[in-house]
Amino acid sequence: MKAKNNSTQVKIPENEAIPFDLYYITSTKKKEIPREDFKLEMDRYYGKGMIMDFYKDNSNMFYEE
Amino acid sequence: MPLIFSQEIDFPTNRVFDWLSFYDADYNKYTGLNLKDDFTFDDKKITISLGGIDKKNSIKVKDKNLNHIDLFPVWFRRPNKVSIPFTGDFKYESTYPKNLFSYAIKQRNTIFWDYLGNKLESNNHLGSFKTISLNKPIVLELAQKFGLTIPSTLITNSKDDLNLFFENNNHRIITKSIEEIIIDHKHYLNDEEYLHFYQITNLLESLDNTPSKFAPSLFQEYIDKKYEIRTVFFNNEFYSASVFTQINEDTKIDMRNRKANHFTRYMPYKLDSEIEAGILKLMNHLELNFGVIDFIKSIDNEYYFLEINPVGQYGDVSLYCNYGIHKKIAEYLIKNESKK
Amino acid sequence: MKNKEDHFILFSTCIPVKGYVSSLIMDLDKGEYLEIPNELYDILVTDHFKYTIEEVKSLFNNDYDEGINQYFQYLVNNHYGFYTSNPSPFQKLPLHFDSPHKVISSIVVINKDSKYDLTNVFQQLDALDCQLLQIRIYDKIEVARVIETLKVLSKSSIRIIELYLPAFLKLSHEVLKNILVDFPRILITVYGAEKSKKVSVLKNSSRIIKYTNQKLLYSSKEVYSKNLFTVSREMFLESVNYNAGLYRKVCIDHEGSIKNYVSHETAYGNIKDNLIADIIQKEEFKEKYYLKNDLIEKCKDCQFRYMCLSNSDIEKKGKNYYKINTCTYNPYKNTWEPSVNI
Repeated sequence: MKAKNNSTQVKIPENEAIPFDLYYITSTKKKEIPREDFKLEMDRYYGKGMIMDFYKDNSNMFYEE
Repeated sequence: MPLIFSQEIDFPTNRVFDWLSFYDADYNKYTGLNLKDDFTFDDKKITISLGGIDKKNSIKVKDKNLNHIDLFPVWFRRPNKVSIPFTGDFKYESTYPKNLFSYAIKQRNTIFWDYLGNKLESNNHLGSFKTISLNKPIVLELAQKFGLTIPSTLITNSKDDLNLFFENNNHRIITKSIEEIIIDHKHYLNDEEYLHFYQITNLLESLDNTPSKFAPSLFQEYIDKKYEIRTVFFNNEFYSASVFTQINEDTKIDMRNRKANHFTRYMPYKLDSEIEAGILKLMNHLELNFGVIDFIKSIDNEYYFLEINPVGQYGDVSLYCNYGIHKKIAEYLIKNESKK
Repeated sequence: MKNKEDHFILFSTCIPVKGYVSSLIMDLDKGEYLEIPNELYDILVTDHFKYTIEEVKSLFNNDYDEGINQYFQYLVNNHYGFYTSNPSPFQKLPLHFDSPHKVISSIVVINKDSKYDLTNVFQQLDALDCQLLQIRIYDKIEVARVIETLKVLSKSSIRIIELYLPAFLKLSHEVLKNILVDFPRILITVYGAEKSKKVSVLKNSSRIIKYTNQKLLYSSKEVYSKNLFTVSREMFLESVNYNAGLYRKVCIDHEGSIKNYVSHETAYGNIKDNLIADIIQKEEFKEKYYLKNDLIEKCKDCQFRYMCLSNSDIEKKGKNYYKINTCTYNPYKNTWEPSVNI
């Protein structure tokens, strides 16, 4: 079976109890992007919300160097 | 006060809460997992009274009277199938097996969650407590009955029949889960790297090296797409987007197979009226007033219905097409508050 | 690929914007823009849903046939648009901007004379669902006291808290690091430092402490530069409808005055006497929300007007609006004058 870039197909034994699609579970090696610390408990949401991402800045006071 | 059944983290739920707050509406969220929820019980006192000659029915949680709960609009965004009400541990000594006993407890305790969920389905509501996933073959058959075109589909456990289907479909078929796709899993190799286990739709261009024995499984003809269409059906309105999955090699067969830093083009779209009529009939039949529906527009200009997800993600369609669905959901919930 | 009867359709997230001498296509998905000549802009904004490519060519007297062929093909190859024989199901992007946040951004100034109740200000901003908060600290004040008051925001839905601290406070890495650890929403900039640098103090985190040798004065003007442009869906929609700098922004200066922006002259109330929620309801406070770049002299002729953030006050001379602090870009010549560092 095909193995694209760093993905591999998970090896599943052949058995009449296992549906065909389950022979196509893929596993890919990925690098963790630390995002968990951007999810915080927030009262408004009774759960977690995202911080640190917004579509615009507040003000531009300094030239980017 | 709108009640929202959702998961611990679901960003569309948060966006709707933003709008409910904007309109100064109170709301409550139930995950079934949080012991602070009104509807999970740990050490909380819960009493339901029913029947008798005087038919004085009542629900009390922690002495909080929930009799007027039937006035609250409910959004079954992503309701949990079960609640986890009990944390208590106990010593068990009996020859009746412990696992069977534990199973019996779990089944009984889930009834309360189920009772409330089902009861709340008779309130003004969006989404469904009962129907959070659908039986694919049934939905495909119904879609066809209501005038939608579906891809040529085979469900079989016979390799011979699969071979024949493969021959009849130009040696290009796809294999797809007959149910939901598997639950993603991250297997950590170290602090920074992990193996991500997931499932996407696969194109089969050869049946060599494929299993000869398998349980009944779903196969469909491979359809050459112009683009995909994702329609958010909500309160009898259609919010559709054409999704240009064919631009990137990765997303040609399954749009979920998108690399993290890649984007997909979405464009606001209007389905043909007869297709919308078909969906309307189908959703009515399934008693659903919310669902995310996927179509393919083929290179020969046919619309193929693929599936309905009653708890599907609609955030992408809303954002990319600026449909403002979060706001509309919040307004729907506020408007559907029943008066005493 | 292309047929005789085809239309050329730009993706709805690829937006042509006309400038006085040069135009561009904003790509809201990629967060980039592509510079194009004004002639192409005119061609791109003809009604492609109505006219086929051949018809568009004739609308331009067939003067640009070859150019149209080449540009459209370039745009298709680079996924800005596509050819289709049936454009009717495709719809235009609705251009309204709806925000659920009663306050989108806020700047709070604190100096040694500030006497207002900071905790109360933060609680009010939180109740109004403020998303971006900037705290500018001047003078030798006790920063620990300010930090302490931020604890009321620990479970708020605020996204980013920018803390601007003067270098003369001489706060150690350790102190600043502890602030970052205790307050996940805080980003720190130390201004007036000897050297500009970025210091990473947390493991596995993109959050850094920024040191800049630039100064921050009460009179400091905002800076404008190509590097500071924001190409995003929401920024575009907000700028098309409102002044993206001032829309639902409320600022508190060091005296507690409530303003559209800290350096503006007009105060609409004082935090000691008024509730922020009441002030932002006043029509005169909201007036500048609507003075978008399309209505302002020079900005209205600039192709960057939907990606450029400016908090400048706006003055009216005769029937026209002008920004008081404007940029060094000249849209009539398509040149940037040398920028003057403050």
